Amino acid sequence: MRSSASSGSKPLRALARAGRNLGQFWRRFSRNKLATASLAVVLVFASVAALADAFFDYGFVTSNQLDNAFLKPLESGTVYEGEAELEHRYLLGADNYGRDILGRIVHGARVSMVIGFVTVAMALVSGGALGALAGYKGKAFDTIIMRATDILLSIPTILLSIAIVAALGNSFFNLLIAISASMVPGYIRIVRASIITVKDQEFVEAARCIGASDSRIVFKHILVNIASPLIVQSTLNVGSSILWASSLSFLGLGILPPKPEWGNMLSEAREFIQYAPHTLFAPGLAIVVTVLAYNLIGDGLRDALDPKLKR
Amino acid sequence: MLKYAARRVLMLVPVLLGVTFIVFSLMYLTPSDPAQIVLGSNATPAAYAQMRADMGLDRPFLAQYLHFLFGYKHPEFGYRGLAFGDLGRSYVTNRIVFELILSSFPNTVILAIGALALALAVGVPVGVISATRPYSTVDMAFTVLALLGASMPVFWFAMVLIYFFANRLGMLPAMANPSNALSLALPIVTLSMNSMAIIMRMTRSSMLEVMRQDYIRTARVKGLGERLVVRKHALRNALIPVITVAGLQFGHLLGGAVLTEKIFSYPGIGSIMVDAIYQKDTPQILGSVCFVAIIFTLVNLFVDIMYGLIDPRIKTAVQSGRKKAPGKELADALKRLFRK
Repeated sequence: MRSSASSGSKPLRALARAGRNLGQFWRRFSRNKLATASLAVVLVFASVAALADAFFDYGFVTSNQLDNAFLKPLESGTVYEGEAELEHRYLLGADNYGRDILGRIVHGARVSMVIGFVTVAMALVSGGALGALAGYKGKAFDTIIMRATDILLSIPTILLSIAIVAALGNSFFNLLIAISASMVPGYIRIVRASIITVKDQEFVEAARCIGASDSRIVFKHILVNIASPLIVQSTLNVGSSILWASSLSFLGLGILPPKPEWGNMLSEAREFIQYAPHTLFAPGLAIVVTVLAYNLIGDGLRDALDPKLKR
Repeated sequence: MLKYAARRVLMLVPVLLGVTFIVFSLMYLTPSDPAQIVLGSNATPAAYAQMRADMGLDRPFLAQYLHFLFGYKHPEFGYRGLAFGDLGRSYVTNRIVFELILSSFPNTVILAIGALALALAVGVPVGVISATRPYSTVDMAFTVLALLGASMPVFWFAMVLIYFFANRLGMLPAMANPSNALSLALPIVTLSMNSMAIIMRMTRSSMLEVMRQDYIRTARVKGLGERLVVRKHALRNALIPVITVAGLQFGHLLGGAVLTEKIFSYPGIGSIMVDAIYQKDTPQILGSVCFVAIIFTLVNLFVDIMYGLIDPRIKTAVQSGRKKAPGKELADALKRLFRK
């Protein structure tokens, strides 16, 4: 941890100092071709998600155009918008209600990106705080928090998420809670373990000697040193969060149609696999590509942030 | 070792209490009202209040939790409690909750065993091949495949399999049933995909670690063939963490078969659970979720104890009094996995 810290693996400080360290980090990261390509994929998806409304009108992708149901990719159909009749080309075809699949994927990307980042942020903050408390304060805090973590880990993650959504009701916010709750134990473990390894080192003792407060020590001195594993874990978690969200939506426990979401698109496609396989492939590939990209970036970050681990 | 095992078994009590408490609290928060489900929406307020009292729903939260654990006395709605494996009847289907659970659980076990066997049969050899040629094209290809396997939504993979093998080729049925062995093929492949990827990565990293050790060099210097070194010397040691991960995966397969079972309309415990949630069938949800969580905990405990038996180094570490937090093995295994 420490030896890597001195060679530019502390992105927080690296960002603050800008320049040299960041460049060094980027040189290491960009050596990994797959990870760089994945970063490009994620950036493209993110900008598409951000500009979703510029590509497709939200009202258009959520309203039924039954005449166009199951149009094959590249086929055109007449679309009614109020009084107007427009000719629309369905690049990826239409679903069972005649809605544009590409448009729904684009708007679904927005939902997935938001879920991915928000759930990870929620889990990171709450799990990080609890882990820091357990690791830094120790004793009773440690016992209580870690026992609770063990209990949470004894419930299979998918069951926990399902039970939370079933209990709190089907809403976007509850979906966020359900997904982040299943990631919290992971962060508690990582932060606690990392804090325990660094908290007795000399630089922490030195900080304490000059009268730094506990919170200052944790945030200014310790957190910077455990940022690498957290960044890697968070990147991987964004991917799995997107996967969870789509699974829950698929089961009808997440985001419900007509709102576009990749999982519920697949849930609707399920009944028509035989007649309209194109409704099945595109949303699934969107999930696979996105999740795979986050996993590859996570791998690349791990190698770039901690050169010790490579080989 | 015995002391270690005994302590782990004792530790089980608070964990299981905690699990049941969490599940019960979640169900307690559920907006759906069992009394209303039983009576329908046309009941008079008086009948409704009477029903709530009969079902014990007017009692405080903790009292209800104790009922749930140790039984509730009532001529019609009474049951002996989770501790005695009796939660009465489902409000919706009127079937005995644990009868349904126990009749569907073996089906899930069949699926999980099949999936784990397939995952090991493919994951271990592929992991060894990858590890003996690290950073080669073959290794890279397998690595990307494994990542792909871990990135694919289970339900999507299942539907793609159904489309090709059931709809297009007509080779395999799209619905699975425990009495038809052929119909199990697709769900087993679906379910094993994730575990296969994890076992493959684990075998690879564990092999890489072992192959660097001195005794492997010694074996090579002795003039043993590379095959013999890999199979007899390296693999045996490398498999120890793999077996642990496989055991933990088994627990996950038992609990996580929800999506697979749902898609193939397979009558396992996962389907029961999801259906119960759709129907807001509180006793059935409580029973099945707690049952799966308890099985999951027991499997993990068993794996941890077996780990100590298989690897004598861990046994001595425990005997010499090194403290081991429960679940530490899991954390270690995952850490190793993430480290490659």
